[in-house]
Amino acid sequence: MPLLSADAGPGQEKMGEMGEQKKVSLTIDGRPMTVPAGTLVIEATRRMGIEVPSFCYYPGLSLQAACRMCLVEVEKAPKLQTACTLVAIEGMVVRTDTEQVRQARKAMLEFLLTNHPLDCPVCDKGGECELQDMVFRYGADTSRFIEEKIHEPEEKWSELVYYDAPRCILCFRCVRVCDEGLDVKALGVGQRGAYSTIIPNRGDHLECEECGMCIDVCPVGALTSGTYRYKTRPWEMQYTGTICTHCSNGCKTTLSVRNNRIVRANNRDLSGINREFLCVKGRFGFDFTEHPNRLNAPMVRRGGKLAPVTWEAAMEEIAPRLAAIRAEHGSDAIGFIGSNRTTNEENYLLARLARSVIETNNVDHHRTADYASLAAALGSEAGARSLTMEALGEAPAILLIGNDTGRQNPLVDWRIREAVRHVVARVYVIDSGEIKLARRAKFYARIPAGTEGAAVRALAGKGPAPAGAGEALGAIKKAIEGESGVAILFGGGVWGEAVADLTSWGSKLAGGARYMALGDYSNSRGASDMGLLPDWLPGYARIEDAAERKRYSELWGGSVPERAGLTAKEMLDAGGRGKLKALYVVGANPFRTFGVTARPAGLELLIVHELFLTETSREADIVIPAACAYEKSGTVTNTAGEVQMLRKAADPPGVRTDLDILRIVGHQLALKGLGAAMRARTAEAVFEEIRRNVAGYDVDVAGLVAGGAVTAAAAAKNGHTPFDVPTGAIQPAQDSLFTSGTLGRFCMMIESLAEAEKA
Amino acid sequence: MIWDDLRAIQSRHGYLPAEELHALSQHTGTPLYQIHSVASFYPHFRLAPPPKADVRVCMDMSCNLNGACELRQALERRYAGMGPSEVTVREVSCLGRCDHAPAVTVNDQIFSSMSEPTVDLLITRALGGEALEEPHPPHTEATCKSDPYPPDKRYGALRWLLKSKDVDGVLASLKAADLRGMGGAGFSTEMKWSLVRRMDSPEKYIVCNADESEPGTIKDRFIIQHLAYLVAEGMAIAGICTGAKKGIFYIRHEYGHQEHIMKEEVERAYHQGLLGQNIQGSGIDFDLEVFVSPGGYICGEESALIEAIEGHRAEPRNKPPFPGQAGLWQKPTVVNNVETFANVPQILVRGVDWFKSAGLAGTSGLKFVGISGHVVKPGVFEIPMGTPASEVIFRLAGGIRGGKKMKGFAPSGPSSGYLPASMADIRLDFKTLAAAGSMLGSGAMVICDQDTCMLDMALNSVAFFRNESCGKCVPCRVGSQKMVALLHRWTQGGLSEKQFTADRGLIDELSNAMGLASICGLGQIVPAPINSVLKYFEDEVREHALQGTCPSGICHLPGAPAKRAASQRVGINP
Repeated sequence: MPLLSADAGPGQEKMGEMGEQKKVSLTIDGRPMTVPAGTLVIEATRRMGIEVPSFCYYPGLSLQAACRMCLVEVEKAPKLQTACTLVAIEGMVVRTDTEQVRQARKAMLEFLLTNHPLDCPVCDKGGECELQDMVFRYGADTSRFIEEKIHEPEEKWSELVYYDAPRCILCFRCVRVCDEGLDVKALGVGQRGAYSTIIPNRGDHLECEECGMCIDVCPVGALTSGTYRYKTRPWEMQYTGTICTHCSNGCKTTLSVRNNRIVRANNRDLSGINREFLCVKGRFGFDFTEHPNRLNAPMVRRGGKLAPVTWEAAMEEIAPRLAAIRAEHGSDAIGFIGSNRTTNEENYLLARLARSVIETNNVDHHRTADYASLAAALGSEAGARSLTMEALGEAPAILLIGNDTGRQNPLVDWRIREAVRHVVARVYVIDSGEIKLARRAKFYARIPAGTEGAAVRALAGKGPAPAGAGEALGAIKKAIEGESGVAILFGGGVWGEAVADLTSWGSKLAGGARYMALGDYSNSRGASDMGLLPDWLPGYARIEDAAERKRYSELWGGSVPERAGLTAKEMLDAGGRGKLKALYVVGANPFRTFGVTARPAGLELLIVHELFLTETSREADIVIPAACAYEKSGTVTNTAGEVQMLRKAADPPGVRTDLDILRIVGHQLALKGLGAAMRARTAEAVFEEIRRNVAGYDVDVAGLVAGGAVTAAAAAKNGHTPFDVPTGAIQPAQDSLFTSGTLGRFCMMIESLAEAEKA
Repeated sequence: MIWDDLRAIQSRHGYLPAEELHALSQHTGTPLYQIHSVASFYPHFRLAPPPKADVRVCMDMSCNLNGACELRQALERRYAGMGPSEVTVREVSCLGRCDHAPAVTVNDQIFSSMSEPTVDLLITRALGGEALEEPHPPHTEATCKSDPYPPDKRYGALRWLLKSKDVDGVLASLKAADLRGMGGAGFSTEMKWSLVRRMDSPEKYIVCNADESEPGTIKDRFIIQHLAYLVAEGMAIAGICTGAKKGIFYIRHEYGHQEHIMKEEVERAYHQGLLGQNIQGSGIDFDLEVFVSPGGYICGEESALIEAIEGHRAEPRNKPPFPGQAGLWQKPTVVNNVETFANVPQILVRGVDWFKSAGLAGTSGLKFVGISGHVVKPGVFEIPMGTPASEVIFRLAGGIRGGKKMKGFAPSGPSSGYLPASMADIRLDFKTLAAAGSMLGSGAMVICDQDTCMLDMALNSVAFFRNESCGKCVPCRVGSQKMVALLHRWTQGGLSEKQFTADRGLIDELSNAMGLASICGLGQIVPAPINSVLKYFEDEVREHALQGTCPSGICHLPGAPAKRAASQRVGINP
């Protein structure tokens, strides 16, 4: 008999001695099949296109064998076997469609329906309910039980999670996903026998990360969501697969839209780099799009006050005023601060506008991780050494430095736990806080805040360890040096020279290390890759590189200046001193980011593209209402360098995409003799230009359009350059699971959570 | 250990207060839901403050046959006026006092042979604030044929094995003797041990299953009380044979007296140098500890028992892997019944031939059987395997009480189903009973006299399984509940012929599905009582379900004439 621990998840396919996977052959329903050794029969059948129904089996989670739906006949086995726990062995003969199997399935469904309320017409899950589907396919057409059903009242466990016990079929997916997947352990099974029920961790309510994964994996309508319940029927919605706009991990999310309103976000089709995973922000943080304070008309400051104006009026103000300031004070009196949430195309256009139309390198964005130094340090190795989200989930050893992934990078955190569960990965954590992941760490070194760089130097053997962390860091260094194929992740505290120290140490490790810099927002990486940096052109071409400048000048039809520009912080300072006269901000809130309490005195013109009035936009002279990521197409690059496509889900009146706005501004400036107008009119066309011209972005378009993630390996062409990252240029946002910069403040559902107040 | 913590809290407060559980969660780093999960699984733990008198009446087979229904109803009526903080009367699953039925617990203390006045007295004392203490069972001496030792020569087989290290010889003897599991399943002991012996693991375990909780099963209680040394010796021998260095004696918490006896025996064995490290200089280690079950019939299922030791809800594991491959803490584990272990030294000391000749009609060994219900002398008897049931019922147990006739009997509690009186001469051994569609099981004979309502007995048995289902797998969780509801409907009478036929078809399919699909034996055996009753007592059931005639008057029949209603008893509360 095969030996498989009840706790072992699937996917633990054993490797043969030569590193090649062993194969076994079996017969399923008379058809021969060869699968890797260790494959579960249920997976083998699915690969053959044979459906073996199941409720409690859930790929990636521990095995239960509780629902008894996947029973199959196995030759020589005296009883029916659960295909979800059965490991394929050589010569096994399995039958999935015998009379006995059909009878068992039918009976299980009949059992489940005896207490199930059959309130399908008013159940949120109706139409996408696994129980409905199973009964449709395998169930009986009549019910013979006439006994009373057990009834319990519905329970509200949090603003987001409701539990309807009678609908629950006790598959324990929610319990397992919360325990194993999230390491939150907020759900359990209470009572026993016919009265067994799912219980929340605080007796009558939940206290958890509110990720809603329990709702997502629930096969029936037992767990329903506070944002979606009783809103609509699944077949009344349009579905748009796009990318979450919150953190930098780039989870795919499918927005369900009814009447131009987003009513749900999930990823039940398991496509994308995150499969079903979404955190609270990804799943519930979409209602900012319809916040009452959302801007829906351009505003221009008239008589000291911002007043709504027509789009024509607003657009006619921008070009003349920019051109006038440029004529009077020169190119470098104008600065641009881009967004870490706008698309690559928009970022690229902004870089182009600044550098080739206004002809200044005063362009930057709120940097939360030092992607540029990583690209520079890795040079031509950037592609081979970058760590994708998928690879992270299979990494044998993981070193995490200076980031609370549990709060700031939920998908990364989920993937790391997956690696621990499925490939028994060793995790090493170096952080200044007691982060959640430290529980799973083999070694955990607590360092003083702000000493991440010093810790890295100590690992690389180039300096002393931060105070009090010597022993723990020494243990980690020793352990990591004994590992092979290490995945190294680092937060914004590791920047500049420290990144190079890290990679030079990492390159000496067995199998070579792979890296992921952890930024904070949905296109932080893209902003950096597209050259929203004062000293780097798109694709990390160094600004001093004459050939690169020439290339971009010719491409853009302007003249890219040689001297590096000002950083975002420096621009604000220059504005205060009167050196910078105009500041053009796209989707950012630099006043808050850099702690500016009053509008810099010397600024004559402040233009802001925004969704809301923020600390910055409320001080602006011209405010342009922008579309958010869920309202436009384009591409974004996640923190791992994976490029994915946004798709427009909703189309609120009164707003335009930043791409449109920048294109119009560029066009109007061209009419004034500044630069060349963009020929490309669509995000797709701009991306094509990026693909042809920006290093690392020559990605597979077909894969992208198909909704996949394609890895961009932007690499600094001239390799190891001086790491002249100014101190303070990298400012991690320190968001929590329940905050997300400006957007987070306007996510009404998230703000209403009990946990959010504590965050 | 979570059980110790929970018991300590419960003994301090009388229940498990939320703050204490919260503190326990903090202190042990166990998520609160896990504590709730286990605390709410085992009925022994209370999540709310108990009343001054917490009365629980055992309602299962033997107690049911001995007036538990009437007793409970009388108590409920008598204390109906008292608030739930004063007196509550509830039911409890079999307490293992089947030979002294009915059994009642008051504030967790077990009292047997109860009647309304005696319970009433206990309740009055409890209400007065007195801490009740269950009576200590009288000291009894029993000379068992199973005991191969004079008092001063115990542990002879173990001593021999420590010296000879002839494990192959032991296994060969067990095989030749055809020793089989005495807990119910009857699996070959030698095969089980050999499997664990072959497993390549530095850590292995021997577990003795002394969790007998099936209604009518009291034989292990007797064996522990009188032959604890044979059990300890058998476990140590199993350890030596399989390479396990640790034994766990898993005993149900209702057996406080026997727990004490076993602990004393273990201590004695340590004292004599027969347990521990490097036993008798042999280089062999074997430690033995007594583990008290948090409770529940399902803990007798070997993998559920293992889960309970690990501090979880006692939910059976899907098999394979079997405990022999991945058992306690996922290590190879032998789980055997008390009587199985006790049999091992006999075979080794007296030889295979003696063992084989000890049984009747070509069977091996001796067998302990418990007998309860409507007999004159309920108790535990040691009989040769293969002894006719009638011999036990009519000779050893003194026949049917009150000069009545026997209607039927369960050879081994609810799982064996019921056989009619006409089959009383059936031999009690694995093969014969299995061939009759019943089982030798754990030797728990329950005898029903001529006035018994067999439909009620079937319902009673199915309800026991429903109460004890862990709820993990669908067929058992839902099937047992629905079967109880269906049978309860039958007890009310008034079914149409058409409905009765449809119901019977449903029971057939239900039984088939539960047998096919349940994770463990509990789910598979749920339908046995009703199927056997339908097989052997069909006319009675038909008449009952269609016409509403209950032969014992135990079933509450709403349609019955008013003059009978006064004396009616209420059967199972579904």
